[in-house]
Amino acid sequence: MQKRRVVITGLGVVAANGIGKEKFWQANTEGRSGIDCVTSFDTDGFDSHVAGQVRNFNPSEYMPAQVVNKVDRFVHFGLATSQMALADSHLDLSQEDKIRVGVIIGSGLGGILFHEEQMMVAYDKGAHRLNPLCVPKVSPNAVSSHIAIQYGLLGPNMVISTACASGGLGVGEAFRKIQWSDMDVCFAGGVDAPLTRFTFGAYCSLRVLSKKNDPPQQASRPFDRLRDGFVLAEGGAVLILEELNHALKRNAKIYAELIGYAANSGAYHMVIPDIEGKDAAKVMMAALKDAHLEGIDYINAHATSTQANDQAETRAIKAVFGERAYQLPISSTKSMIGHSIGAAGAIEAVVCALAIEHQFIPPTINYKEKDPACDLDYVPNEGRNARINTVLSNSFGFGNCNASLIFSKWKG
Amino acid sequence: MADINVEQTVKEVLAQQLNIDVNTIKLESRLSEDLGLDSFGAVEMAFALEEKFGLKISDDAIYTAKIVKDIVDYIFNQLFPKG
Repeated sequence: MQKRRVVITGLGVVAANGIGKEKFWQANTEGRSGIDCVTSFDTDGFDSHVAGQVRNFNPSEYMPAQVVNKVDRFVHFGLATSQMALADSHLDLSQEDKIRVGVIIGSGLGGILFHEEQMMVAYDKGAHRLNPLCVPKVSPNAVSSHIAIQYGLLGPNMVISTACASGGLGVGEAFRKIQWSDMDVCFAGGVDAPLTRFTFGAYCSLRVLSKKNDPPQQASRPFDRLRDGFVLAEGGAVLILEELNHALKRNAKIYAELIGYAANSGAYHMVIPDIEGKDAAKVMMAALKDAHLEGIDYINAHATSTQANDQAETRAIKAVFGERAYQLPISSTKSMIGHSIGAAGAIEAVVCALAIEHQFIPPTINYKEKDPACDLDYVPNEGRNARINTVLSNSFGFGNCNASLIFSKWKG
Repeated sequence: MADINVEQTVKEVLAQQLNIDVNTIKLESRLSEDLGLDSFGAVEMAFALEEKFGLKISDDAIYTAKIVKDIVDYIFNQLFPKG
């Protein structure tokens, strides 16, 4: 059996710096941060007070009224971005064999907001007061199942949970399943809604969040010498992935082709990456091999703005590309979006598709002081026009779960 | 307790829970067919009403209620028992 080709035909995104692909892309090209002080809960007592909170998001615009209160916020992001991506693709689902249409979504944390609210209920009012919908609202697969229910999708339906790499794996595994004919179309992406007092506090306790609270927009500074941690964020993205001939038959607009994917494990530590970036280098090399490529035009880095990650990723890029690494533009859109955990890889896949469409590389903002350990071209502070035929996107999760995706300009 | 408008409170709880306009809910509205309330939603509604009115709503009352008026009557009878 021959591997089939897979293209991206629809994009939906909700991020701190933009809802919908147009506003999102405009913010990314202008270097506009979505990071601000947290207002959705009280950060009193924590060292960090900033986040990539999605504001002015009204779930009722994207789903039936009665669904809104029945699902956690992470499902709101999944349903909203699915609706955007489907509309953008102009795919008429009534003409599809639904068993050939699947949904694969990454989520690191699932329905953590509702989980937290119900824990309070259990302790304050008694376990007999727990909401009857606790299990289906908290379960990570609530997001893929609600999307499947909304659109009657009968193909593979799953959630992949690999912490900060979940979105990358969600897109990658959907790509594989279409390549090997398990389905023809997939709603693929990632979502997370971790801005809750418990979850935010838990990341604070782990000492991974930036304490640069003032001004909030400068807290996320990947590769900068003074970076001191990532900025927690929420959001989601869904991409319509489609088998090439299926897309061509209906004259679909093709944003980009997915041509390579690999996932691996560092088997090293639950939180710390291997500082040499050996596993990161291996996953990038495996994705390049999968795509039959040796070079690349742009890397959308995982680059969270922690000392360890950005240094390890830089070393890994040098290990893969050698001297060519110094000529290779690399940027971290987390500098503007923050780190949305399971959504990150999918949101960044949208960035890659739009970078190819617009032949433009978004910047790494807040880059002020060069770190001797991070000495590559990080597209500092201002985006740039560039000839982009191929893009590599990295996603590295806690527990050393890694994924790399490779996108190519569609030349049809 | 007597100053609480039972009918209005029941309608407001349903509207908030189902994310619909309170004015679309009538006493004769069918809970399932017209408002889309399912069995889980009925339990959620009962919790909210128990807190509002400080009383216990039986599972039987939840599951046998067909229209909004059934809920209103049940609560009214609990609050103001005859005899």
